[in-house]
Amino acid sequence: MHTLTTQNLTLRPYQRSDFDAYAALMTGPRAQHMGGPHDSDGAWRNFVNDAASFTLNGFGCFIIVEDATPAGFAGMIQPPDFPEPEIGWGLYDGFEGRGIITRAARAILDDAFATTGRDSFVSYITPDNAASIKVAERLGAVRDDAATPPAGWNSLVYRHTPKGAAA
Amino acid sequence: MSDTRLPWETLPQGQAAVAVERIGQALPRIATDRTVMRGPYMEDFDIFADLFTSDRGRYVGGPLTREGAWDDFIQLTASWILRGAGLWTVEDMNDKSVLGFVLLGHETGDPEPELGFLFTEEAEGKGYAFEAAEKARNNAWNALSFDTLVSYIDPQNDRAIALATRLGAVRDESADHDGTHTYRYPRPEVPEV
Repeated sequence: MHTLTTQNLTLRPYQRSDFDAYAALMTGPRAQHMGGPHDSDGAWRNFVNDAASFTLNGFGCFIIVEDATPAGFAGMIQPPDFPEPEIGWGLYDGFEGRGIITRAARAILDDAFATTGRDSFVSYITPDNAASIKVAERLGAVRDDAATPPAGWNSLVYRHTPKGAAA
Repeated sequence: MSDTRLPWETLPQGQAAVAVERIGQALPRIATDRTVMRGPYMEDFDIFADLFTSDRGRYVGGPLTREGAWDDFIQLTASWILRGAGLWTVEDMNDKSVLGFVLLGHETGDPEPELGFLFTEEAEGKGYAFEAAEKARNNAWNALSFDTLVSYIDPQNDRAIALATRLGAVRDESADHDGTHTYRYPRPEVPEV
């Protein structure tokens, strides 16, 4: 577990006190792009999968803090039904439109490629989630239609590779 | 059993395994006379799942499906980050074989933090569970300053009742919860070491 910083963003490990804001997002309408909306048990299951990831996998999730205020989450997870490790993200209400996810995900991808030696991570993105598709493209990810999304998910697969690697 | 390992149970490889080891070393390790209690690794999940999906899991909310065992394993692993305590894998001090699991956790829906334990059939009856659970109990009072500690035990689980009683716990009928009997560990006035 470690903390990353990029400009005015701090990416830090999950804390118990993050759950209320996280659950509000995962039980709300925006979670339709994250396998939800979930009930509160489902939100907790996602939260603990995120929080346990570093310990078990060596890659994991961060809470994004903008100027001392939690703004969302981003990072790598592989919960049940995910064929591959995914970098996923979610923004709390009111933090949209400032490029927070793109900056956070860039720092997390760079760190994860350096510390895990993996050659790719995917993002599972529903086709109508234009904002996340734009983020994935800004990050340099490319569509991988040969890859399989989680069972029951209607999502596209975007594949991130280390900078400079052949896409 | 590698042939049953699902994609999300993949063991970390290469540099990721190094990262996992760095984190694992940061979790508290406790030596008992014959065992070492350490943080969980992905490779422990096979034994954890075998225990909780088998008949041995019948008194601890099971037998569970492998997916249900995953939910418990991940929650107790995340607990280290979220609460500073969680699941210890208990291994034989000499040959490093996994004997079982001890935990200080707070499962969703439970009113109080819990001391839990589950050991393999091979390790049963040799005092390993007492050895490890005693250290976990003391850790709750000393390192973690818990206010209360209980074990939620199936009324038919005679072995667990005997172990909790040996550790000083007393049945607290007023706190029985969700079909289990609550055994309460008295908080020592002067913390034990």
